[in-house]
Amino acid sequence: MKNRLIATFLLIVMLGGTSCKKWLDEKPINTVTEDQAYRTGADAEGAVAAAFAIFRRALSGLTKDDTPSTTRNGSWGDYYFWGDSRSGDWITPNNDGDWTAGFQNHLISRTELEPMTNWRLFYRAIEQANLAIEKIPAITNGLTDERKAQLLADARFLRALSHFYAARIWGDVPINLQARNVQPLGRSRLNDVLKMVVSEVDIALPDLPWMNKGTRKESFSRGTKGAALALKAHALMWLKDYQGASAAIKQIMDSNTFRLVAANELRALFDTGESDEIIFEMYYDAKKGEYSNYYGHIMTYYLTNPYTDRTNLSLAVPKSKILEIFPDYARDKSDKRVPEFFQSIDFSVSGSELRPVLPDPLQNGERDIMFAKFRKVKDRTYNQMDAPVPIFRLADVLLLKAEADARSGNVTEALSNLNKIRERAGIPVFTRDDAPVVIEEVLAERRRELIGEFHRVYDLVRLGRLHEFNPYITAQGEKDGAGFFPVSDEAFANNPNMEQTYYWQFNQ
Amino acid sequence: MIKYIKTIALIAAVFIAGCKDNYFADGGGPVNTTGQLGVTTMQYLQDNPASFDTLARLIKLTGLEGTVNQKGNTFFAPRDYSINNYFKLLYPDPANRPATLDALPQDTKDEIAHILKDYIIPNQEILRDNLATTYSYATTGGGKKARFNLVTTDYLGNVNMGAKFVNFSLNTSATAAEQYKTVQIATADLRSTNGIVHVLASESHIFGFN
Repeated sequence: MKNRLIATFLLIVMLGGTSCKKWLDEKPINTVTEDQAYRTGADAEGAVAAAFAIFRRALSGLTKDDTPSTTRNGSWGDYYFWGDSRSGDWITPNNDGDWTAGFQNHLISRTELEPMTNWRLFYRAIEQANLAIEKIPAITNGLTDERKAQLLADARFLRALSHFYAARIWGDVPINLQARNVQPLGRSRLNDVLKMVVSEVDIALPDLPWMNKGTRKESFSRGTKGAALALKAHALMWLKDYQGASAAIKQIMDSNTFRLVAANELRALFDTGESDEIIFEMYYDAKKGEYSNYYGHIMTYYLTNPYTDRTNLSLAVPKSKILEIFPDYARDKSDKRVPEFFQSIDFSVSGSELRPVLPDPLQNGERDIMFAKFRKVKDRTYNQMDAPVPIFRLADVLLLKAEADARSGNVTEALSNLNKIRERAGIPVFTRDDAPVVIEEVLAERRRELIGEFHRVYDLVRLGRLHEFNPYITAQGEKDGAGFFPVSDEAFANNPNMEQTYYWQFNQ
Repeated sequence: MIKYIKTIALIAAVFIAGCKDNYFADGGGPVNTTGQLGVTTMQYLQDNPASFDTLARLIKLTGLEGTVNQKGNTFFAPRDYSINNYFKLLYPDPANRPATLDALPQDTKDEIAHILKDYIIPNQEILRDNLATTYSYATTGGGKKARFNLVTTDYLGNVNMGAKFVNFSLNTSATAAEQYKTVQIATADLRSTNGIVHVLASESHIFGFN
């Protein structure tokens, strides 16, 4: 009894004695406040680089670390799910329920897909760029005027790009051009966002260089004149200003900074990103600690053994669809892109050994062809995947120009650019010259050339034709906004000005 | 004293009851009777409509019941999901799909009969225990070359550990150069009264090795 009393007393003394320390009031000496953060040229460089890093994370997708309302642990390579999954070209050979729901445009009811409806990281990149644009002009220490102008233009380009990328996904999105915003922002009309993007690019263009320092990959992972013009052209296509888009791309071509690489150089383009064709890409390099692991890169779901230690396919294009998309290959195996983009793996070999790649890319069955456009992984444990994610490349803008030219009546010019792509792929040149047929062929060529590069759904939504290719979307549904992603619940918190897309008010 | 006797009696009763030879944990019975279906191959397919009712109907439709039920053969049973995907491939537009299997055109029925024969190895019992990690070959009822091998996987990537799976591959090449397409066997070594039945994994396998 006595012992117990003593023990209780000691416990009380111990708890009481320690609880009064004023730990919570102590200020950490290494806190960085906004005033201290923007002092030197190095701070300015870091601030703009950070904005690009946030944008890269925005494309790969939200995780639980980013927002409490997100349920999933890692990002999934969301750029694929926004730009490709609903195109009607894809299946999930292992019948994954989340992927299936994504293909079928059931984007609200599956909690695992909820992060894809959240634009938070795009706006974080925008805010970072806004802050840089506000603070950098006052910096004089260790920053030349020329570099300062360039950094400001770089931040402005990224801000425009983030708005544009979000607008393609959600349609009407808020415009945020202020560093600190206490007003609840409503959504602006899609066309207003795109006009803002074009005018921002026009402001940034004079100060952007054609090439940054470093290798091609380093150079074209940041803002350049080429990237800004490609962005402008894409935005103008949405605004149906075809002559403007064509003129912007003509500037890219006239600069002679880029060239269409040969078919056998495509591997370097998709594996390392060190390619003369890249205009803008997401930067990864395992040597510098810039890579993604199992989560965060879409390659996880495309690839199997021998590239990763996965034994079955999660996402694939079915064989019948490949033959439909590449009719020249179906006819005489002439299209050089098929062996570059697809592979068949010998599935009869045990998953614990290295499975051989079969010589015929389409040897396997309907649901067993691997999408191998991006197939560089560091090792089979999925760690350190550093393949770049292309955002704009020359083939993309050449085909965009072909469409713009055909729509503004310049069919000869359109055919010349379309046929550059076809000649590289080793398929016969296109000779018919009535505009509607050429436009249709350009669209089919974009589907072939850019398959799995996060363009297809945006092309179809821009033209209002997603319902023709995705049986789960109706013509009326698409008019009501089914082609866009719904707005996340999080965006509605404390924001009376937020509105859900019309279609998603009635559809789950 | 009576108390002790009662206690001992109770314990004894528990021990005696506990020694009964019934299995409760592993499904019971000596090992060599597991996988015994006790019915013919065809009857087994009909008894499991959730997996095989379309397959059973196709076999009847093409008049191959006798071939399937032949003594001493091996039948690789594709699940309905694989057959459903085959029809999806055959008729991409659901509106053009025949309403019933009986309404299929005759040349399609012939094609299906042809395909079905490739799932049968006549006069030969393919059993997992007789296969190895190296390839072994047989000829199907459709005259094509079939290839078998074992793979071992424990889901962790350890070599030569874990469960043994059988891979069934079919040479689908029309030319002399062989091109095999592979399907894994989900349930192996079922013994019907007439032969052996293996159930194929249905996820990526499509009827007819498409």
